[in-house]
Amino acid sequence: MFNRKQRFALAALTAAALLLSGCAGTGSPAPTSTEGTGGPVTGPVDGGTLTALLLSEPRNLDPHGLQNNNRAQALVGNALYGTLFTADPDSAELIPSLAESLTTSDGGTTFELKLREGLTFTDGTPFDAAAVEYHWSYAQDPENGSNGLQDSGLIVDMNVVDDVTLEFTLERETPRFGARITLSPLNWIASPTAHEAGAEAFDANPVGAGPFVLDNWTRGGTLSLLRNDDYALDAAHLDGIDVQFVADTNQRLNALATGAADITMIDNWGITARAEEAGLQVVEMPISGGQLLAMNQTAAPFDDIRARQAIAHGLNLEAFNQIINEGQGTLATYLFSDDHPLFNDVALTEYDPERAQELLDELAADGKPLSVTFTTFQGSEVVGEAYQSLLSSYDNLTVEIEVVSWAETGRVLGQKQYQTTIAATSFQEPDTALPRAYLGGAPRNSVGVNDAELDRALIDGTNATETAARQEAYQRFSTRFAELAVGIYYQREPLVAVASDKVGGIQMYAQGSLIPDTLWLAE
Amino acid sequence: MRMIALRVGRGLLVILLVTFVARVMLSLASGSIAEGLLGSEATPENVAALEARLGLDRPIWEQYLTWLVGAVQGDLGTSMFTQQPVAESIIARIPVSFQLAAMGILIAVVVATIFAILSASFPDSPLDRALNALSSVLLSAPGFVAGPIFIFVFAIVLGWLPVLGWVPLSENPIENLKFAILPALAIAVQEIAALHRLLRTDLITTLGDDFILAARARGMGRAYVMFRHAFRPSSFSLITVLAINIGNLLGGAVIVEVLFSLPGVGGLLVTSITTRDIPMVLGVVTFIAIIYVIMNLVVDLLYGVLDPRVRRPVAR
Amino acid sequence: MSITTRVPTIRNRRTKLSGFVGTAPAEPRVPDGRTRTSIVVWLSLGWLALIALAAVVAPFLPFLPQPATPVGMPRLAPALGSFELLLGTDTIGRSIMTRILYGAQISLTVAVVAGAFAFTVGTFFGMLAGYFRSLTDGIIALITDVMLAFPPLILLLAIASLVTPDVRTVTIGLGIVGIPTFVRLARANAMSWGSREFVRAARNMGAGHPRILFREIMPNVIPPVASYLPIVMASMIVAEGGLSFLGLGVPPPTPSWGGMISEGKSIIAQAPHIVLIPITFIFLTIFSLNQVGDRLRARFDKSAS
Repeated sequence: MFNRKQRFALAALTAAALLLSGCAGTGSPAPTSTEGTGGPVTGPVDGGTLTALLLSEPRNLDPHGLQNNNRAQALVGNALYGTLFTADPDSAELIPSLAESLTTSDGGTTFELKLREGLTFTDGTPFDAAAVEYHWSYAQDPENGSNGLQDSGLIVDMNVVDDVTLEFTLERETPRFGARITLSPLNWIASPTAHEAGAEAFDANPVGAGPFVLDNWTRGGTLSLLRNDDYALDAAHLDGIDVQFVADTNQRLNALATGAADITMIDNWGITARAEEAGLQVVEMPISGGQLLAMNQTAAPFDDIRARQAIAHGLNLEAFNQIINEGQGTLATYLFSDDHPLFNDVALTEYDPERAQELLDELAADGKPLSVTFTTFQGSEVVGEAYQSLLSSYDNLTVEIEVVSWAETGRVLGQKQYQTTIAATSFQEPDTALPRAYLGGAPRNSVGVNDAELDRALIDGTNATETAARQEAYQRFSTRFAELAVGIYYQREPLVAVASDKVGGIQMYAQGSLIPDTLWLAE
Repeated sequence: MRMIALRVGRGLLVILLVTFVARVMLSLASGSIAEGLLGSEATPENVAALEARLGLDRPIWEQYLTWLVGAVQGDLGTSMFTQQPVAESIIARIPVSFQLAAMGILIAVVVATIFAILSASFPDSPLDRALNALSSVLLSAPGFVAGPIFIFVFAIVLGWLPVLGWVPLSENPIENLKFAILPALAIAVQEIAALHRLLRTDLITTLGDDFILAARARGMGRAYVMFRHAFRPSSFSLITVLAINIGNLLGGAVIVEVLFSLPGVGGLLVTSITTRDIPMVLGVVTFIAIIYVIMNLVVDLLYGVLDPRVRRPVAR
Repeated sequence: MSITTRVPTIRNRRTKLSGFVGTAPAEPRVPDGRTRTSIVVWLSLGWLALIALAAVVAPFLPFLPQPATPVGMPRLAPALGSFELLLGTDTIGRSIMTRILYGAQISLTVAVVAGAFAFTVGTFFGMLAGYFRSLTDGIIALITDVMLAFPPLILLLAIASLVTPDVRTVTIGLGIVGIPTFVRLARANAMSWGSREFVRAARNMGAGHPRILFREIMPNVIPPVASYLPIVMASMIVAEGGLSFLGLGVPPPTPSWGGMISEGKSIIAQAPHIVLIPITFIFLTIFSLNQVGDRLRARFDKSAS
């Protein structure tokens, strides 16, 4: 729920409603494009090599070590291994890619995954159900440290029925399990033969069935990909992709502005706005939930609901946005984004400074004047300082800031040693992200909320199959969430692709996972 | 000979002590790489298990000894953070730091020498006073003061140069220079002032010596006397300070590297400390210490070469 | 050109050529009886006094907002009209004027205390090394070398990790880092003074080492070494600024000049004042300290270079 590295697994997507009949999807996934500005008018054009800048270099090319989200190396995973499914950016509906269908007949406990016929990896070995089973069991073993551990953990039994069919059973009813696939490395199936050869051998030859193959990888330099003309679906437009890794967001933006690179991912609203001003193409992934200020209910001072409400009412989120995003961020006033099928208009927080002061005075009168320590990580100090600044005008409230280095995140997040800090729960499908973060007793429930009414709303939302029923359940959730002041959502998470206007066909799925085969470069 | 062996031995001892102290300090610091890697999965059991896997549960001296044995054989271990060999990571970053140091020093030496010669040629003249004033100003502008000013003037106002970025020299020298010139200037600023003052003082002192007057009396031209006779004995302090400063810079001018987001050794030190990546920290510290020791040795040797009076050991 | 023709030329042009390369003036130049302190040094002292005053008085000024309170929209440019907005606002909307004045507290405290600490400890050990030579000198020199070869970052990080980082820990850390400089200075001075006749005379008269150290050596060593204090203090300010810049110094929201530079560096194009104002203050303070230090050195350290 907190750590950036874990975000992909935490802010889960759940696939849309069940795909009952295997639709013979077209060659290219995700027919609807995400909203964006700019971009070439006529196309697509075949040919050219795209230069992409990503945030952090992976340690190795094992799909289990890559992260399937905006911040990390999703582009590389999608390129080398293709995808079983992608998802529609607006409705989160599952779109088959290398897989043909995912169906369940008992409302989400047993599933049948069907692959396309005749798939092979680039080393000639068959891409069959057994390959999928190999990878999903690999993910399940904690010793392997796969990023798909959490999601594969739901699977209790797998059975290869035939070459293209895999049956699996889940621990509990999860109708939208497909979404979990799209947000994790479960979506990327590499050749088991090559994978078993070990990390070094695999890095030299990462055999998959994706639209690109590895040409060369110089660590600290460039990772070059070349088009795979044997790709089972429509071949990619680009001849190749050169990926470089630059940690500094400003630097990435600069490189784009000067034409040194063609596309990059940005996770900051202020910088996104600057990209727009610079005339670059900006493509945003619509996403719900967002980043929030989590308040630890398991210990003082936020075990007292009045303390939580005081902050929730007292923090001016518009001003907050002004400071941390130069006013450019998208506020997360409602749980779901505007176009989401489950949208409801329950405001999660309400700015009411008088009420805030009342509550603070009450607490002081009870002998417990509110004193808060905001724990922030290096690099995000501005959030803590903004928090402190904006709350400094209240009486009976003191705020301290604790800056913690990366090496201490375990203590803070893993062992809940914080009072309030930054967290994130972003999702297209709420089913997995919200229960994971807020269900009483859930292992990733870091705020420690345990409320029967909240739990019931979550369970109803997960199990319901009709949109209306789900909407009603999540409306109850939002209302109760606001009542309990569980957390303060302050912005939607920026999942943005920024590119020069020569790049066309920019599409993302799940958590801003960039799809490489649709990309093309105008002349 | 014996003197050299003694110095080398002492240098090795310094390196040993530095790395050991660094190791101890790191273990005193809060947080650990295990915690960072596990993030929200960092229950005490998981942390202990990961630390055991990384070998962090053994006693400090034992860990250090293991590392030392590997290090003398050339194996600096593997980074716990990136899983890449430490030596390779450091070597990949050395060219950047070296290039910056070289460019910075070169600019500084050239400019400072010109200034100093002008100053010493016309001591107390308006020119000299102006140069001294300029030196005072430059001396007060460390990297994080000069750097942003250069960025503001050359990159933002004038738009001649890019703000951030880096292209390796081997890839594209022209682009590389565009990225390297501002950080090199930022480094050079204080150096110019320090070297100018040093050289000026020494030159003026030397120029007052009798042998200079004698040379001039014998009919040698001003410039000839300056460069052939005055310069060499005046350069001792310069070389000493220069060598030490080069040593510091080769280890990575951290502030400038961070300011300009350059992939140098200094930045590597900062990130490895922040992540408590013990093998990487030890690797970088070793590298810095080695450079320091080598530069000191070089200075001692140069002194002997330049000034024969120093070669004989002083009687105690 | 023959030699004989050269010499008369120099003699004739003696006065004009004085100052050119290779000509020593025919008459010795007698230095002024009293060196006049230049106007720049006086101005520098004035600036330092001003900064010190501001640092001390800042918390008591009624019209000065708290350093953590926002006073307006973020990133406002400097504007006349109100004292608090005189230097604009920073990325959080806090008054830069306030933060500069409070930041002066940090910079000066660190400079003075760390400088004094380094001076005291460094001079002490330096004297011991320079006076006793042989083994004592060997050990102290070795330790000094280790300290100099040691990246200060690690030391400061370790200290900051043992105790909650704040002004105290940064000060102690920088004080420790500054010791080697004074050790070397004191050592050099003690060595040269220690071989003088009056010291030997004192030994012959039966004076013990402590007495010699404190009565004969120390009073001669302290002035020249102390004349380096302003300069070392300037480098302390630089070091503290550098640490804050790297995020390893005084933690937020305590204002620090280096921290303010770090904050503003990524938006230097949009709001340059956030970076340029603290830079100006740091520059002027360091410059002033250097000027004062130069003056002191000219006065006290005869072996100056």
